[in-house]
Amino acid sequence: MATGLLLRSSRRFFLRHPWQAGLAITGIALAVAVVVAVDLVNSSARQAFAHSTETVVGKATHRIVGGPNGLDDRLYTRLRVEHGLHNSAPVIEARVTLEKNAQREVVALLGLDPFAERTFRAYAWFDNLQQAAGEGVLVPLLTQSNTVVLDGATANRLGLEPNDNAYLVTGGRRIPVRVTGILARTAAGASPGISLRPGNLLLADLATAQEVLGMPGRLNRIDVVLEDGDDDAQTRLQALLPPDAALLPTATRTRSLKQLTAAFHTNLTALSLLALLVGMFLIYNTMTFMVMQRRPLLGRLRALGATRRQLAGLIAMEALLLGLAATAAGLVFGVALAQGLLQVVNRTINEVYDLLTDANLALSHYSLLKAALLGMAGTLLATVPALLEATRVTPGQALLRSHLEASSRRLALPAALAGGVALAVGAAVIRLSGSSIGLGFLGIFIIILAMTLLIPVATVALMAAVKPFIGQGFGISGRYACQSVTASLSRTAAALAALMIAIATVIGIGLMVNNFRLSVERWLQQTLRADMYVSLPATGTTASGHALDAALAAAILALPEVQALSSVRRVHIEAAHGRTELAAYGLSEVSWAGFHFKQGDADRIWPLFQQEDTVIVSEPYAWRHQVQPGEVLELRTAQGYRPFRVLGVYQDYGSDQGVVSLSRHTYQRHWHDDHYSGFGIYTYPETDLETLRRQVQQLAPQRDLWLQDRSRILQEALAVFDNTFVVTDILRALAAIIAFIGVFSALLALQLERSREHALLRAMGFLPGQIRGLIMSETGLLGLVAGLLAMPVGCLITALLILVINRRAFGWSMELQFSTEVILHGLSLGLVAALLAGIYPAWKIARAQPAEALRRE
Amino acid sequence: MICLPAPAKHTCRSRALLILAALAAPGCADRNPQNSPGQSTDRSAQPFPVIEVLRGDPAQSFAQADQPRQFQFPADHGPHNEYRTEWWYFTGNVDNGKDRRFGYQLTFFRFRPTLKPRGGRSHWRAEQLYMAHLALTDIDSQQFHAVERFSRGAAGLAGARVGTLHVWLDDWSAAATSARTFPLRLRAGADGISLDLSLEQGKGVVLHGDNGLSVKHAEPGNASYYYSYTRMPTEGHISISDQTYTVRGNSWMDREWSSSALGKDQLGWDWFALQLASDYELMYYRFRRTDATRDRFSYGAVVFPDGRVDTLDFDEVELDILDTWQSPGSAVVYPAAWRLRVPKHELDLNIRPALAAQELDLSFRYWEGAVELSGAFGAAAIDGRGYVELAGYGATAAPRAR
Repeated sequence: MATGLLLRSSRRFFLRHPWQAGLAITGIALAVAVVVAVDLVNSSARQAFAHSTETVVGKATHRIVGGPNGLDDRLYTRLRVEHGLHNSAPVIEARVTLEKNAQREVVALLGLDPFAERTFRAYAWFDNLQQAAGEGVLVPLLTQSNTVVLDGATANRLGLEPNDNAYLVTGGRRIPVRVTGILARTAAGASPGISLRPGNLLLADLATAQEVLGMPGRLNRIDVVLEDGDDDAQTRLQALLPPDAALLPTATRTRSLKQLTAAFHTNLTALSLLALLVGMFLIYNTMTFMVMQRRPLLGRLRALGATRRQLAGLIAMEALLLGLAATAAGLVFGVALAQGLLQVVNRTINEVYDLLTDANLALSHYSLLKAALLGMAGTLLATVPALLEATRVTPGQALLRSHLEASSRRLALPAALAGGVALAVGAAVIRLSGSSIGLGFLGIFIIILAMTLLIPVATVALMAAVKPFIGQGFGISGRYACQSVTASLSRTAAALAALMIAIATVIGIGLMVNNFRLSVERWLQQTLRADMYVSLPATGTTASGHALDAALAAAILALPEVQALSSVRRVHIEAAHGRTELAAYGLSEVSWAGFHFKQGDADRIWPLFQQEDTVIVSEPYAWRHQVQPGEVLELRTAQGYRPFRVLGVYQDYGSDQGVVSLSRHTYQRHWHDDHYSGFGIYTYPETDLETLRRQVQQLAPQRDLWLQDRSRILQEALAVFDNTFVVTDILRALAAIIAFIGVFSALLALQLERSREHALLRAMGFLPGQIRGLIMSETGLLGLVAGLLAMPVGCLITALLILVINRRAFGWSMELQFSTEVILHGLSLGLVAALLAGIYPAWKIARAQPAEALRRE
Repeated sequence: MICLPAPAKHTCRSRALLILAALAAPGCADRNPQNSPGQSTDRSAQPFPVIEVLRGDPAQSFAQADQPRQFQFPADHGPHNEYRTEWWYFTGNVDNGKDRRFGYQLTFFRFRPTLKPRGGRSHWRAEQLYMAHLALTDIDSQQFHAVERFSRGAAGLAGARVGTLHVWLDDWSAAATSARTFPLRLRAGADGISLDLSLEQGKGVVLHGDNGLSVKHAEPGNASYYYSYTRMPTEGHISISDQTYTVRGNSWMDREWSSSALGKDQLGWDWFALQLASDYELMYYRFRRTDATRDRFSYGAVVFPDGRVDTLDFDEVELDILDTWQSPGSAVVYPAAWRLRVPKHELDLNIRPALAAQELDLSFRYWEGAVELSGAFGAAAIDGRGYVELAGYGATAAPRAR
């Protein structure tokens, strides 16, 4: 048979059903777009992370770090002048806020010695440096206080020009600075789409950094380049260091940064895969449908002599063209979507991971290629069943719909059995995958797929169950609708699966976030015991200049309203095995109750905690480092590494990296640091907090203290929490939209395809209103079925996310509750999509002349 | 010796300014190969116009070398921080008594970029900037090594002690070893080369110009304070890639400070420090002018074996270029052989570099190297060794041998 004829038949079909091709393309395109977007965001964020490491670490192979208050800067002079350590550079690094005309940007302040930098950091200080005429940059930077160089992007946002003045806000102080130079953006064309210049970077001479941060005589670290593999040089250098300093390979910092963001990337990737999964169902649905619709035509073509191979080729080619168009559209939309997502992700990165990166969209060819392949391969793969179906049948069978439906129903039971097996496999994967997040997600995917295999059986059962009720409510239209949902399983099953997965995802993620938020809120309420909290506005630095001193503690305690004071000192200790967050608590007994121990007995812990070299660790810390009570941690103190016994594991959502807590007494004994990061004030009853706030602020007139009562802190903490999940919400919404389009197109096609059947019903005496009712109840039923099936699946996803993924990613345990509100929301989503899909066919059929409709077929 | 020349014709630039330019544009100043030799090139369009820094800070506000001073030693070996620029310049020719001859240069530059009071209370806050150059010429294996260092005169990273001779930058230093100042100890090393030398005073101090006031230009105040030790018996060690040589020889020390720059009509600068075998020394420098005429502020001095000094006016020395050498790296053409005559002293010398490739291709570029002499002193044949500095080449027409 001539190929030309086959092609023409195919073209005619699409010309007559343009909406079908359009919806198919939209669905696939959306799925591809989500995958592309998430992949691009992931790789851009990763690049930004890597770059922020590069900015900060540069070419250093090692770094010398000190204790909580850094290093004595005379160590640097001694190493350089007496011991000739030439490949070394002093660094002060702090998070500060730059303010211009009430506009603020958080920036990384790097205090450096420009002369020592020449061999270190990748960005050239003076390449493309924009500066004021007549003034120069280096000399003011070196000789004048409060002079800085700012990166171009931040300067643009703040509207700063060379020689402009701005304020640097740090540690509650507002210091005027002059921008002597602006680092220009990398010249265009160097690397398309990628700005290699890190954002939010403020460079200053080391002298200025010491001055503005209030840390005279101190450094955060010394970067060093040691010859590769020269262990002697390492040993020699190590021997020159005082006991509170340590020589660490730079790689540990990069590694801990990778660990820090691993969970973040995995979560995003999993969400995009979920979108792809929904997309695949959609493609499958569309392709199957287009084949089913033409079964009579294909059968006739077979009868006319077209070979199976020719038909298979035809369908494959249709799929290929659809896939190509959809993939191309998806790539374009995905890039745009990535741009938007990146904004949100940037905020999360900055707020949650305390990294200053200005992730710019990096158009990685790899990401685009991957998504294109997924789109094409997904389309073709999803076409295979339809392809087999279309070519396997004999010409005679192909003309009969009943044969197809009968075989679908026959397959329902085996599918359910396969689903049961898949369920077991999924459970086994989760059980056996230890602590792997990726395998955890795989297990969840398998379980979700298994649930889709149960759909035909569940649908048949559900329909049988609801038919009597519907029949009572809607009469013959209702019963007819129930019957036809079951009868057209071959086409409805895939649509149901897509809708079910989407709704289940919406429900699952919604419940997870809901539970998470609930746990955090409960934890905050338990932990926040004091009436008012005092600290410095958060800048993420532990430099002593950013700490409160003992004099303030005494002054606050002397206020008549103050009953008790608890204190905390938060610092980071860098050691060979990574970065450890320490929290040293000076607790009044009232605040003991703020700790909820997951392991260990509070009554036994507290007495020991005050006296011996003991610590308690947060849940994520215990999970990440696999620490049990009774074990010993090695921490780097001012005298080198010292052992500390772990007494217990407590609940904490404050840091996903984990915290080691110890008593202030123990901390001071080992680290010789008498600064504070914050206080909790316990007042006598009936104290006016507003008056107290003013009184405390007056005790530190030079600084802007951060004074918050309990309820405000609670609010702010939850606001940060909500921000963190913005990306998750967006992706969840996208999955829902894809499902919505999928369901809409499937049901629309289903109904339009049945216009002949409806015309027949009209001819038999059905009223237009009855037909409309029939269509609406049919699509409504499908939506209801999907929603109902999605409820248990959604709850299962929640349970898996909380019990498997969150534990593995962060070590957090949290309560498992199923909010009816979230569940009903998911259910309504399915119903609305289904009902909307019914509107157009219902409207059309009511207007059509039955005879006309019959004749056209 | 004083100023390095201006790279551009029309801007007043001194060596000090170039130092700053070099500091300011690490690795990018002057590093591109020049246009073809013989072609005039305007290089005023440099990416980092540090020169502008100083426009608002005219030299007049710095202390000026405008009248003769009473030198006090060892105090004047120390820094003169109120002047804009200052240097401690050591060059010398040494050998291991057998088969290895070396030339060395170790220089510490002090530069004060601005008179504005320094702000802040960090002890890192810099008022003075330092630069140091170390060069080693391994004559017999035809190798030349040159390294530069920069730092701030603060936080103990670099500096010069008041009242004595002790200047350092990182672990490079030149320091008095006793209250009598001498012997001096020079220590420096980097990139596989190092030196550790002890320098005796040798002959007494030579005050140049008018009792140490060395006038460089007709403009008032365009002068420096300048003294030298012209023959300092030297011994110590030189190491090149793990091979250490015990060496002896003679060094030459120049000390100079000023707040002035080259005149607008002065392009560059050739400087000769020659130690004759007969215990005489000859120092001579000449400015190269934009109009190619002889600069009357060129100057020379003959130091007799007993330490007496005879100064030479610009017209008492004849200097002819006999040959040139083009640097393969920078493409700059330098003079590479001279005939130097001082008729007054019946001196007629041929001067040849011990090695042609002694260009310091650092943040800013010049040629400075060990030279060998031969010729006639009166009726007798004479030979000797020395050091020559050639600065300001590459920006203007290439020199031509006559």
